[in-house]
Amino acid sequence: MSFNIIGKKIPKKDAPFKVTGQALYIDDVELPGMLYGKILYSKYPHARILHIDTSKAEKLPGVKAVITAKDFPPHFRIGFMKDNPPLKGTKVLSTRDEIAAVCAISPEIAEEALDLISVEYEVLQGIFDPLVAMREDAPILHEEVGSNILKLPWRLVCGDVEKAKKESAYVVEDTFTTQWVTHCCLATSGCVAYFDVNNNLTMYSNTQIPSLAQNEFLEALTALGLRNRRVRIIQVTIGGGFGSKLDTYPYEYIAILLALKTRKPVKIVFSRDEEFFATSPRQCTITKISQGCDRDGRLTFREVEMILDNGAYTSWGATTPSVMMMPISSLYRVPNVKYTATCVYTNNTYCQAMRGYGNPQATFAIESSLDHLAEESGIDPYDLRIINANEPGEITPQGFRVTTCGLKECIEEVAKRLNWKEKRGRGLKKRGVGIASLIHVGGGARVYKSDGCGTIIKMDDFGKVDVFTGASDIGQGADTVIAQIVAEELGVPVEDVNVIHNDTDICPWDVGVHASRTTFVAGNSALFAAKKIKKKLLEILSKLLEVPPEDVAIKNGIAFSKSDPQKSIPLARALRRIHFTTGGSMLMAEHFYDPQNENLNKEFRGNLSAAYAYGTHGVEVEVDTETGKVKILKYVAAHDVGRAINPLLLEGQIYGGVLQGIGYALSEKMIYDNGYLKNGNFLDYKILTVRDVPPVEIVIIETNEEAGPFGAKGIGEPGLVPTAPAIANAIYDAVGVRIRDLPITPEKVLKALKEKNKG
Amino acid sequence: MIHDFHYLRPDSLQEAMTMLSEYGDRSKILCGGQSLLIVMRQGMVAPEYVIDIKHLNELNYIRFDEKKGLAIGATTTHRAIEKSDVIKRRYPVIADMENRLASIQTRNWGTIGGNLAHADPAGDPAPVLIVLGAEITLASLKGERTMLLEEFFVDYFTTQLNEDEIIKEINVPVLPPRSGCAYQKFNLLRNDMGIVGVAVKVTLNEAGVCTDAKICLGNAGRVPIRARKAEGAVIGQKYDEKLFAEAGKIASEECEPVSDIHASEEFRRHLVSVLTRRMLVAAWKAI
Amino acid sequence: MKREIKFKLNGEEVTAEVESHWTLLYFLREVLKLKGTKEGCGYGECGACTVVIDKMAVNSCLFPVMEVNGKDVLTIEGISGPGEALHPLQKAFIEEGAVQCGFCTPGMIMSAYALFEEKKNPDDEDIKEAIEGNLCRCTGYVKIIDAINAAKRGK
Repeated sequence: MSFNIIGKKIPKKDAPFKVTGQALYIDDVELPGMLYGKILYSKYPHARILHIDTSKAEKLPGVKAVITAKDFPPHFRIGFMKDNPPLKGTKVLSTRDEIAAVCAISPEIAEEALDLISVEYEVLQGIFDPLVAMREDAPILHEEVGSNILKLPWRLVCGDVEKAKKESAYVVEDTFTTQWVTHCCLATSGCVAYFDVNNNLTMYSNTQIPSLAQNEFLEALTALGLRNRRVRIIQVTIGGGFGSKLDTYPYEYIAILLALKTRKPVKIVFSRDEEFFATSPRQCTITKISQGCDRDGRLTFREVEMILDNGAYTSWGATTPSVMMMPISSLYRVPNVKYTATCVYTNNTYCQAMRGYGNPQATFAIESSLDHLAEESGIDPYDLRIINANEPGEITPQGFRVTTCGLKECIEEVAKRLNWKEKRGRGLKKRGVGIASLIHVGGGARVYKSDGCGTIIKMDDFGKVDVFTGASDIGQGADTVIAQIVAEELGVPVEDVNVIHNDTDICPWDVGVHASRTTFVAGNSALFAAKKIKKKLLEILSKLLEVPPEDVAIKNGIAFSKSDPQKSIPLARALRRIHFTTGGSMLMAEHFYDPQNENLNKEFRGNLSAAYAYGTHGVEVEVDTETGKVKILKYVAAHDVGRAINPLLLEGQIYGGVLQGIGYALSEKMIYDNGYLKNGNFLDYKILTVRDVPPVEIVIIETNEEAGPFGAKGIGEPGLVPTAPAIANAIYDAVGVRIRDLPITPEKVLKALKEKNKG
Repeated sequence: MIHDFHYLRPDSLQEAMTMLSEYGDRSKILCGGQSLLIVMRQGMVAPEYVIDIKHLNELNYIRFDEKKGLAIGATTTHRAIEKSDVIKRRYPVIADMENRLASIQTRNWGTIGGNLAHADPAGDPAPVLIVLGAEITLASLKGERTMLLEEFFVDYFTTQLNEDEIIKEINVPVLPPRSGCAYQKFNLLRNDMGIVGVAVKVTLNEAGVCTDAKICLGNAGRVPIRARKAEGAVIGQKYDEKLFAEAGKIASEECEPVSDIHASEEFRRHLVSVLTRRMLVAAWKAI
Repeated sequence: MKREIKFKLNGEEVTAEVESHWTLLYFLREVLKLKGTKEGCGYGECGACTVVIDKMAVNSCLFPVMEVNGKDVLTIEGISGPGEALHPLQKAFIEEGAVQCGFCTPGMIMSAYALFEEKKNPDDEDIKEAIEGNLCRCTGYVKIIDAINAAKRGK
């Protein structure tokens, strides 16, 4: 297939605004009369609130409102399990618990007012270890729930694991643990809330879920006694998402209430400190995994038991097991699978979605364990993966219908580029190579009742196209990819397609920017809308050119007859002709696309995604055995992307994902000590700088997914999914120690080396 | 938010010292502010008066004299030191150390005087300057006093500076012939703060016997620490990697590191041992 | 304390009354309403607030506004030449895909601008050094290096 615009390196449409400083982020928004909100957080991770005195704060000149839990309806809760009051009135369960909030004419005055609020606490014993929280005698954190174990029975059973285990020639068992890591969006969180005279709410927001947030804020308004109101979400330029803005947070409801009380726009923007401790990180996990294979290396079973520290409240973090199931059941062909996961309340920070949504934690365990199994069975880790690689047409035990699958090609390409046969197993110069693969949803993911996205499209008198999409752009380039898809279909230059994606008043519904779904779902939605408008366009052009519709082609904004190219008309002129005439018309179309994927059923089975993305990462490392420091010499990332709609943006997703993945593997960790975050700044929380970037090679495998727009599958998250196990496997190859706890710090490597030398 | 203050901008060192003698502990010297503004923003320091000396050209210089050695004025930026031809030629260890100090933005505005006055035990310049035998000159209206830099540091973020004193200059003697230096910090990211840092200087005689050795450990105690016993182990000896390993071990025993979020005490001691050996080798090879 | 300062901002002389405890970043964003310079951390750790002062990249969040007196300050709003919409660096950042969420971009470009003030023909190591203080969470930096190289070739 040949394309005019698909497959081209088209620069991001909003980049000119960003490189000039004209793009407006939440901190840049200023409205007339705007007030500034600040939040008072708990001093303790677990305490009863005996008394809150806000009187002094209220008297401070410039303060316009002070609110506490009393100002919210008593039973109002937010979050996936509705267990989180935006302001806590009787009990605090973590150090990020919001107790009171202030708004004032300046952020400085608001801050000063916080110091004037006095809170009396009765300090309670905190629980910071999920294993302790699970004990019978542990104090119950949420009395209304009655247990520290969340009522989320994550359990997937396929085949007969016990039998398979007995029949396996080789079996390994390991326990892996992962840490909290945080998104580190360069722009901090924030919003501006204001009510118009009719009590309709407008939220300037950087949410990743405008439609769902709209729904949740409407619920909040109803709870506040404002029935049948409107909520308008205007997305500003979003300074990084990575899953962090997939839920609504207490600060947003606080801003809403402050705005309602003051009748003024109220802005809350987090400081970097708050961004670290008061947003929700990737959850930490304890994973017990066992896998087996037969004499020929064919996987026989995989059994995984997981415990997740849910923290004090419940956000989407508690649902990540639904995605963890995917690699557990379906990464490589494994006939018998058992997976259980338990989410446990503690007095730690509560967790959220983060790029990969549980997949990196699960894949770290699976792919590390697979190398262990390779060693146990005496099969080269590369061969073991090739033997078990998924193939197109396969239906996995969980019920995923694999359409396109380039996993084998990915593994082969990576091995070739790493010079696997030469380098693996030599342990020369303390260097080693490792690989790990991934499966991820690549055709949306039906985690909500709808996985859809709407598009409205119109053409104007000048031949230009406006596309109103539900999709959100968090920097990944949704605007550009959608413009390319529409431009390709309509035969207009990509510059002529304007994509509007930031206002719920004019953009249709979309479930949100998550699950690597935007190119696939919003792309398909835009494509089908474009097809509809094109059909109308061709009918008109056929009349104007006096040729049958199937003889009409459009290129570069000019319509012509295929059989007689002399017959042509610029689109703009054609559009004006049909507009400015008696009984004239304008071209508009809409489409709501909801992919053919399935919600998981009660047994957690079903075809979650309309297509699956695959990939393999390979890495060569050198380990300093005296200090434990790991140096990455070479990194190869091969991804089956279906089709690269825009290689420039696609590569950007992979480079960015890999670097986040390396941080996850080697340097990043939120260090909590009895509920207090100890490294909430960029000096102590170590994300990689440009000086730490290893050479990364990207391999793009195109498998042309039939269900995807022009063959594309999702690629937003996969770039960081297999990074940590690939590195861990390479370290093992280099120096013979397996680190089962992320991040792989020099101190851990050194300790393992010492133990190995002792034994 | 930074607390309000009176901003004072003296036109000379003399005027700065006069201001300082007047305002004493109600004031703070601002000399680049790459550390001071952070602690002020955190509310840990809230001076009434800020005396800005960053612009004082009389303290902004790098001079080298074959007899007197290197003189660096207190308001000289890290970047100027890093880029100085004479420092690159005569004291490459200083230029290399500076290149890995924080970020270019910090080095562009942060000064050597500000860095030393802040007295963060993880600071990079101090260990290097100490092994080079640097002296520091402090000035006040009462006069000047000069001391070895290693005596300047008292405790975490605490120095010998009296309330009325300003750092004026750092002097680094000319290296004796057949001397070599090396510095390395161990960290996770390239320009990170060091988990520990080790600086070494050795001087040999014509027979290759070590006549002088200085080893200074960064972030391995409350202040940069001279590893004197380890130095003793190499003085009088020739190149011997086994001996250097032994010296490393000695150094790891004579330092006083703590456990924190970045590393345990045990790991820090281990790193001191490894880095000391490696820096002895590197210093020897740099001759 | 209120004080008056005079300095050059994006090529124009500015006289302004400031509070002595303000940072340059606060003055730029909140008083002059130049919102192109971003605050990512406020502690000199992320580089999003980088501006160029007397041809050097500095963190404006750790820069007392009083020190700007008499200096020549350039922000992202002031780097394109007269009558030009975009500086070559800005063009290169667009074309090479060096921009994702874009929040680090103004600071990143200012750091690269300062590099070109110092070196006409920087190599990859120089480029990495120039932007070592600018954190980016989206791009993995690769395309940012590509863009600075492209701008160099375009010069």
